[in-house]
Parts: sequence; structure tokens; C-alpha cells
Amino acid sequence: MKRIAIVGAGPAGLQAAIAAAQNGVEVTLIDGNTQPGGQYYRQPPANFRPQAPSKHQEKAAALIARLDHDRINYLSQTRVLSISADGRKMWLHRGHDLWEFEATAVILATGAYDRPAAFPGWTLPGVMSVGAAQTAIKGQRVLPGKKILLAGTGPLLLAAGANLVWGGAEVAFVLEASNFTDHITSKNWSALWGQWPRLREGANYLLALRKAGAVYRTGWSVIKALGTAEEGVTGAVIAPLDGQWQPLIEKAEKVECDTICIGYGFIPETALGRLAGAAHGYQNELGGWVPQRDPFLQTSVSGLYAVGDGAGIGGAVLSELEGRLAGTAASLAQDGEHKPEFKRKLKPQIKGLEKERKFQKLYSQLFTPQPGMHSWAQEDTVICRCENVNRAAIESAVVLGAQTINEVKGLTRAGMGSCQGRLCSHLVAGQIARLTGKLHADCGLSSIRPPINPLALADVTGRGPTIEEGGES
Amino acid sequence: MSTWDAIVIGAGYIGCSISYYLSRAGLRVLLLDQGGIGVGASSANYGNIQVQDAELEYSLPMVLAGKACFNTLSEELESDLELRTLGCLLIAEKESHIAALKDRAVKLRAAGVEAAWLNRDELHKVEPNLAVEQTFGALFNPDEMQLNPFKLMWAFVYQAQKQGCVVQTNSPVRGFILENGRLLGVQTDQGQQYAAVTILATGAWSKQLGKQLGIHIPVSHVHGQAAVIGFVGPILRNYLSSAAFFEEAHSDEGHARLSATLAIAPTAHGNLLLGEASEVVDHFSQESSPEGIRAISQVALRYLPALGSANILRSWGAPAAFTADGRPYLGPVDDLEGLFLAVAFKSTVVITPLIGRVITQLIMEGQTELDIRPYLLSRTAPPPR
Amino acid sequence: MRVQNHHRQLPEIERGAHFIVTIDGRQYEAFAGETIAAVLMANGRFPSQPANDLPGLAGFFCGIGICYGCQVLVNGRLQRACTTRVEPQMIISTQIVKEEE
Repeated sequence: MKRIAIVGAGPAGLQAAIAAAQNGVEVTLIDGNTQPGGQYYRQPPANFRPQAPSKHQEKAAALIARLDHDRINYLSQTRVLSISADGRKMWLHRGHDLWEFEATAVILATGAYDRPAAFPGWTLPGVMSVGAAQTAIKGQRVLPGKKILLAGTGPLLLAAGANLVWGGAEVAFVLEASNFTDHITSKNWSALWGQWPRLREGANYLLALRKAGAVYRTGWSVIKALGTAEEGVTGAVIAPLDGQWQPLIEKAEKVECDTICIGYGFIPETALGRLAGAAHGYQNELGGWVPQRDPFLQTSVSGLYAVGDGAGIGGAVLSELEGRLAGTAASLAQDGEHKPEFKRKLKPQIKGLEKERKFQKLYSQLFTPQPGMHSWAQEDTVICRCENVNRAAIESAVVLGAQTINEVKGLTRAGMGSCQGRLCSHLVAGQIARLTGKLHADCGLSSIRPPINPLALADVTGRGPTIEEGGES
Repeated sequence: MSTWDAIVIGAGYIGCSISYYLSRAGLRVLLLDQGGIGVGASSANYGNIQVQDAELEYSLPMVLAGKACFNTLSEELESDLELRTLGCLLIAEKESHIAALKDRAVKLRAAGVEAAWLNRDELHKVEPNLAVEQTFGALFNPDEMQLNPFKLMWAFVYQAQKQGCVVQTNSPVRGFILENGRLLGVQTDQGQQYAAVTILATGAWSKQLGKQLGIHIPVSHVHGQAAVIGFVGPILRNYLSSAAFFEEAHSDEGHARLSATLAIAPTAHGNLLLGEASEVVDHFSQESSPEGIRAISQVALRYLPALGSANILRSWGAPAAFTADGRPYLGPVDDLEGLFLAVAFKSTVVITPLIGRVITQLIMEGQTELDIRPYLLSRTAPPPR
Repeated sequence: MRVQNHHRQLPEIERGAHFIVTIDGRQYEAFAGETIAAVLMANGRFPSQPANDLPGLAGFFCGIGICYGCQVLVNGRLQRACTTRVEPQMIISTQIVKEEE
């Protein structure tokens, strides 16, 4: 019996599950969080009894309600820790249980995470990602600090800042690294046409920040966090940036804050696709290494699809469209083959993606990370948080001849820790590029090994291996 | 087409070492690998430098000479190899191991190697977190060592390149150039490469390369698996190895099914390397399997029960070469002039620098300080017709 | 600090059941549905921090369960502070490695 497994219950995964179920196929939707919705549809927990849901929350609730379907088996708090080379068999982990699960086809909808920058002091307590602040305020109604500075690139900065202000926090600065108004030319301006809801949303956030007295600057960033390990952050050094994001030190300012939230765009979460051996290509405007996909969003591994931000940064609307397309395509496919007649059937959906892809292109041009960000780290600045590897160690490895992320990994252990390089791979590549002039793309794809996330040793032996086809939880 | 004094095939521990010593002796060397530097079995190695588990009949002098090379190696290579002292416990996992280990202790001590037999109580004092009731005692040498495998290989390559060595990675050997019982060179994607001598340092891949050369190199391999765990704190003081590694010779029948043998090493960075699951295979995959990780975990929890809450950070596999008699193939080959072998070493790291020197001596002077007769290919009987 | 005032853009919520959890030997009030990180943040504490100068304990960063920097010991098991929901009588330690005795 055909069963499609979908990894991730954010916008893309939810739409994929609904589409596949609508097409008569059994679906197992696997998500690591306690509630579905991913980041975009993140809600406070049910225990918090929202009093008057916003339009956004209503939309999220409506979508999530559609999971209540005979053909959708939803597994929450379940991680996928490995996948086979044919993309069909996965290791699932929940609580203390580890088991194997086999599906006919798999759709990866694993989303993305904030791209950090490494600068002196970024590992101090009180420095966190913008997503962490957003989760704290929207998901938990808690303020991550008292006097907050946000720095990075992209609209999430504004959204997070505004939410923090509405939650009663003092937001001192919001620093957008890109002088993005400079990038809006007559060529790409047309992509903004019709995006009124988005533009209105952005203006709304900006207004809220201004009203609350937050200072908003474009072409600026934080380049140093001040404080100690015991006290945490006590302040920051901020500076204007040139077009390549090189700081203009002579114009730097010292400011007070106790919390620094950073996010320089997003990095697609591609661990499972890489582990299955799907072909990946480097596309800076999509967030870095992304899987190569055919028009039906299938990767180079037959029967393995990848959709949403986890396959290339494009935002929630594009993610949902992609989820629908892959959910439908995977349902109709026979043995991983997409027959000609439903190529015709899916053509309208494929076309529908084009408008969103235009916006995606504009967005990425406005908010692309620039190579100068890798000059902010000093010799003793930590590059790999998990293994405490600093810039000097990476330089020594490059001097010894290491030219790729994996070669630096072997020599320095950068990328060998708990996160297997999710946070630091691009930082390592940035340092290699800075030292050798190599392109990021030529620094290679980071290797990934199972389990893709840390797994307690006791859980490995707890239960015998049972390959479940269908996998009831 | 290019001409060299020597071509070294295989950029693992042995190949990197040979390339360095040959280059230092003034030869123009080409180092080739189908992948990158140290991406085969060497990348999966713990980096332990051991004397205790040496093959005792022939190899002890070689291993001792090998260990001595490390005294000045960091200085010579101008590189911090992260060399440190790490004691080793050879655990008697079965009662049948006891006699063999005690016998080993006698032979080691006779050769001047510190090797003490510990009963369970003594073992508990040396390694407090070890579940000694699961063991029958152990052999202990506190003077063994450990280094960073990648530092060693890259330092050899860096210094070799300073002496003019050329390295071509992602360059598999497509064929060999043979004429009248002489090996003249190799065929690569960069064209034909000629050399007076060619050295195979190719581990598990040696057998298939032998076929291309028209000679029989009886190297088999196991697919070995290991994992690394984090956040354990100072739970283990020494490297735990098993008597099974040398008391039970690998054979095609004995390890046909996956089984796990104790091999747990603390790293300098606070992690534990857990191993080793192995099975005899004919593939060269570097992946790990659920069965392998389960087997490794079961062994680990049996001996270090406190590990249950520790996190597995990642796992891997590698093809590890072995021979029927447990000895490597080292030296020239009777029927093929111009070919040297340096493959299938059991405890590789300890003799890595030494082998580089030995091969260099053989090539430059036709003889070597080490008695290599036990390691010649000619010791093995030709396959039945 | 827990959000007290609400704004129409950040809809009001009503916290439900509350109970006590123990973090590093001290008692804290927590609400059902909160994560360990949120309880720490609400009390002005860093949601886990590097301990014992050991690598791998990089501290809270991503907040969404990706980086594993925020791991704490929960009833003897390593769990991410940012994704793990508190439960009554939970015992949490942010110092995750014992010194050798």
C-alpha cells in the first residue's frame, strides 16, 4: 500500500500532507515539535488559551485543522535521524524509542534556520538568533531580555522587533546590514507589484518600532558584543557597512544592551537530503547549498522530494505552493516515475509557482549576505560553537593545505559537534574564501553522518529493530 | 605524460608518510588518491599509537622502532600533532583470553615494554567506571599514545610538498603501464604518469589493483563501524581495546556476520570514540548501519553503563584491510620490477613514520634496517590453478 | 520576563496550570506549555550557558531546536531547553557534566 512520509509540519509539509491525502494516498506527517506549524505558523501552546486569535493565527489554525483526516497519520515530537540511500527508510525517534520506518515516497519539508555571523563576543550569554527571540515572544510570550538589539538582514528583523515591542520590551536598535533600497532597480521593482500585503506588513512593523523609539538603520550591523561569561551581554559595538559588508570602523559606535539577536538570512536545513546522497548545488540567492530538483520538486534520488525553505529560501507562500505540488506529484507517481499525463495535470501548479519565484528572486537580491561579514571575526573569535574552534585554528588548517569545509573539519573538528556544522559550515567556507580567494561553492558540501541530530546511547538499544511499513506510532 | 622518480598510490597514513620521506631524500614524487587526503580507512582511525597489540611472532621489533620515531616527529614536521600519552587496556572479554594475554605480557616485558596483568580489583582501580565484572582482567600499558590522524597526514603532505612532491587528489588509477615484467607507470585522468618505482599504499583496495597489475595480493577487508559520543566528562582514563582483536584472527568465515568488539577511546577533546562493529564484505562503503550502531552501543553500555545518557553525535564506516596471517605486505614484488607494496598494516599509526623510512631505504639503497622477509608478498602461496 | 501587557497585534493569552520545577537546586514557578528556556528567560536567567569549559556546551543560540547548544540535564537525561516543555516536579540542571570524583 502506497504511503508517503512527510518530514516537517510547517507550511510546506502541511500543504503536502493535505494534498496527498486529497489524492487518496496514506500520509505519515512527522514533526519534531510539540505542535504543527513550523516557524511561520508558530502558536503559543494550547495551554496558553489564546483569547482573541489574530488573522494569522486563524489561518494557521484552519490549516492545522485539516490534519484531522482519515488518511493523515500525524506523529509529533518525532525526529527523523537518518535516511537510507534510496530515500525510503528512515530512523524515527521519540521519547526513548528509536525505530525504523519505510515509506513509498518521502517529501522533505525541513525548513530553515537563521544564519549567524561570527564576531567577537557572539558566544556570550545574551546573544541569540532572531528566530530565538521570535520564538520566545510569539511562541512563549516571554521576553528574551530587557534592552534588545537586533541585527542581521531580511524582513524577519522588523517582524521580531515589532513583536518584541508589542510584548513590552525595550528595543534599542534594529540594524539591517543591507542598504536594500539601493538594490531596488527598475528591473526588479515589478516583482514587488501585487505584493501589497507584504509591503503593508513591513510598513506596519517599521511604524511600531519607530513609535516605540527603536532606532532603525540600514547598512549597519553589530560587529562586537561586549560583556562577560558571568554577566552576559552588557553592550555592543555597531558600525556602518560598505556594499560588501566590510565595517567602516572609524564610524563605529558603542551602545548599551543586554540582548543581541542576530540573523543574516536563512540557511536551508538539508541534512536528510545530503545523507540520502541527493545532488546539491550551491546557490547563494537561495541560502547556499540546496538540492537539485526536477519540475515536480523531486531530488536526484527517485521518490525523494524536497519542498519549502528547506530546499531553497523563498518564504511561506512559495513553501505552501511547493508543498501542494510535491504532495500531488508524489501521490500520482508510479515507482518514482511521473507519467506524461499528469505532467499535463500539474502544469498549472508549476506555472503558479512562477510569480512567487519572481518575488523570491527580488527578496534574495535585496538581502544577500556579503563576503565582508567574514571579516568581523578576529583570531580568537569562535567559529564552530560546538567544538570551540576559533578563526586562528581554521587559518592554521588552511595554511597546512585544507581547502574545503570537510578538510578543515578533519583537521580542526569544526563541524564535528552536536550540530554537525549546521551553524558553522558557511562560516568555515567564508574563512576559506577570505584566505584563499576560493568561491564558497568550491569549498564543498559539508559531510553529514547518522544520527543527524544527537541521540542518547540508551535509546539505541532500548527497542529492537522493527521495520514498519506504515508506521503507526 | 609525466615522469617521476616515484609514484605513491594512496594518500592515507602510509602513503603520506612514504611521500614525505621519499621527497625528503630528494626524489620527485607524485602522490595520487582516488579521493582526498586521508579519506579512506585512515579517516576513521582513532589515532592510537600502540605497542601492546603488536603481532608478536615477527613484528615487535618493527613496532618498537616505529614508536621511537614519534619522539621527534612533531618537531621534524613543524606541526602540533596533538600527541599525548594515553594508556591502553587490553580487556579479556572471555576467559579464554586470559592465558593469551598473560603470555603476551611475558613477551612484551622481555622486549622492554611495560605490560602489567591486572585482575578485576586492580582493573577497577585503574579504570573506576569500567564494569569490571564483565571482564576477566586486562593487560595494561600506561605509556601508549594518541594523536590527531588528520594532523599527521596533512603535516606529512605539507612537508612533502615543500620538498617538491606533487599531490593529485580525486585521481583514481585507471590502469597500469606494464612492459616485459616491469611496471613503468600508471594511467590517470591527467594522462600517463611514468616512474622508476610505484608504491601501493592502498589498504583495502589493494586486491583489485593487484588484479589490474596481474598479480595476486591477498588482502581482504572488513567494513568497520564506529561512532563518537559527547558530553561524557572524564569517564574513561585509558583506551579500552579487546584481546579479541589479535587473539581471534580475522577470517572470511569468522566475521561473515556483523559483530562488535570492544574499542573505546577517549579523545583529547572530551569525547569518546566507540567501536568497533565489523563484518567481512566486498563493498567499500563508508556508511554506518542501524545494526552496526546498535552493536556498538550494546558493547559500550555493557562495559560503561554510565554512558546511557550520553549522546551519539555521529557514526561512520570504513573498509579496513586485513591478511590471513595478520602481517602486512611490505617490500618489492618478485614478478614485477618497479612495484613496492606497503599495505594491510594491523596497528598502523605506530609504524607509519617507520614505514616511510623503510620504503625510502629500500628504494634508495636496495636494503633496509628492518628485516622485511616476514612481510614480503612472496610468503603467500600462489592461488590454486 | 513574562509578557504582561498585550497588544492587539500580539494577542492576549491566559496562562493555565502552574507548578514548581527545580533548576540547579532552586525552585521556580512554571506554567504548563512553557519550555525550560522560557522559564529561565522569564526569571532573568540565561537559557543555559557554557559550563565547565568543555567543548560542545556552546549555550543557547538558535531557539528552535537545531543547534543543540542549549542542552540541560532533565532528570538525568540531556534535553534541549528550547524545545522541552516543563512538567511538574521536573529536576533540571544546567551544569551537565560531573567532575571526576
